[in-house]
Amino acid sequence: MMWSERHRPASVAGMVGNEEARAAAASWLAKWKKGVKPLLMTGPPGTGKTTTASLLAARYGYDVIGLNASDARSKSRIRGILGPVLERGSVTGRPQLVFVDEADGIHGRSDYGGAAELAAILKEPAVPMILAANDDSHDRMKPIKKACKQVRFMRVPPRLMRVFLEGVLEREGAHLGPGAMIRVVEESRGDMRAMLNLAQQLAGGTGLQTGAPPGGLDVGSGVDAFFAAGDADGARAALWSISADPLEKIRAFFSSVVMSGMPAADLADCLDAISRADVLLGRIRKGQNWRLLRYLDSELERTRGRKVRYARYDLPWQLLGRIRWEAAKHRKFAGREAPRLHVSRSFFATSCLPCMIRCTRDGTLEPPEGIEELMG
Amino acid sequence: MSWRRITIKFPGSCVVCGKEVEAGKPGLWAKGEGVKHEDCVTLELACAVCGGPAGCPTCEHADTCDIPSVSQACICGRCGEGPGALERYLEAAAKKLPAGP
Repeated sequence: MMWSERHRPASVAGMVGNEEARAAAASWLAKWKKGVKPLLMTGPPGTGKTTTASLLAARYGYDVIGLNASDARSKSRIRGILGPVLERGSVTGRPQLVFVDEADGIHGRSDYGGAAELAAILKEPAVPMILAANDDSHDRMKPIKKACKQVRFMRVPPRLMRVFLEGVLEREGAHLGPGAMIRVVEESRGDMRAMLNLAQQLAGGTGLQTGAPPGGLDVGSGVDAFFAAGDADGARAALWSISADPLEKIRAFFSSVVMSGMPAADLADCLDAISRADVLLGRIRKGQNWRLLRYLDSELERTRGRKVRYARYDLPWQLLGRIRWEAAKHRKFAGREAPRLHVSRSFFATSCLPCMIRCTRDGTLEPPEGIEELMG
Repeated sequence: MSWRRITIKFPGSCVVCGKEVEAGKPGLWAKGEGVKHEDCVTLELACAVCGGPAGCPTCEHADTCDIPSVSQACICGRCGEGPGALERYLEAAAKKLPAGP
């Protein structure tokens, strides 16, 4: 299990850093009554905004209705999710709290009336509402900021992070040298989640370089670290650290697995896992449901436990070289013959050249200069 | 209320040195507190456990810790040493929270 999940605080009092902000948020919810302005939490990622909201809701006995503003941006979608909550109240009998994550994600052309709808709801909230945003400096946040009480979350001071990390290492029975610990803390730059993930990678002995920023491993090092990991947690941490487009990640796994020379049964299992990941990514893109992206890594995790090294290309070098050489000959021939037939080079290569080769073989066409090289 | 780095809109006087804070220049503002020059900022965090200065000038993270952009309570060397440092911090920080229901 990831340390960032295992050591997630169980109460607001168990959190580290942002004491004033947490106290202000707790005080807001404790005194909340109908008509009180919603709460806007702003601050960099990993500073505890979402955790504070969910723990406060639990502390004061609220059910949380979550809405990610990056996903639900249209007026109808926001109304569809929040409407029943605001009009009819809870089905369970417990009071409800609305948490809008990534409130700064509603913007631009993709905002189909979502920002206006949200601003209208914020003016007269019937239930407590907490919004979280990373950046409040943009103009689009102005109406939201105006309608809310704002609480700023800031990065956690490095020494405080180190005290927390020492506590986690003690509970895990793991050890990091003083130099490594300072480096982990400093590279995390106030992001608790990143710090725990990086510390887990190092303490788990996955051989990752601390030179890369957390969550910033290039795809090659990430794939190598994944397959070199000794246990599932280490592999998961390595996979999480790969900083690449999901499609690029899938391609890297595909080329590495295909080129690994593993037994056929293992190869079939790995390819099945990769194809499932690819199908999932296709569905995510089609429905713009990026929340499901977290399951992509679980599909790729099924390829673990094989001897694989990162390979950039999914074909052997000899074959790649031959393809490149053949392509150059085709391009040269097409470049010379296509203007004679008044067609484009691509049309010549795809439509005319196969016929020309067949006719030359049949003897019905006098061989044009240089076609022998293309006939194998 | 924490101090916020802003561009000063109206002239005023610094709450630390008492000299004028010019409009259009960067400064720090806190609701109910006033404004102060950027140079007048006390670049030292407070210890969340004992309430004293956290000892930022001698901290091992002094080079990388951007004091104005981190949350304003840390832990001093004395309170942060030895076993139970995290528990001491959590206990002290919990006292700032309002009582639960």
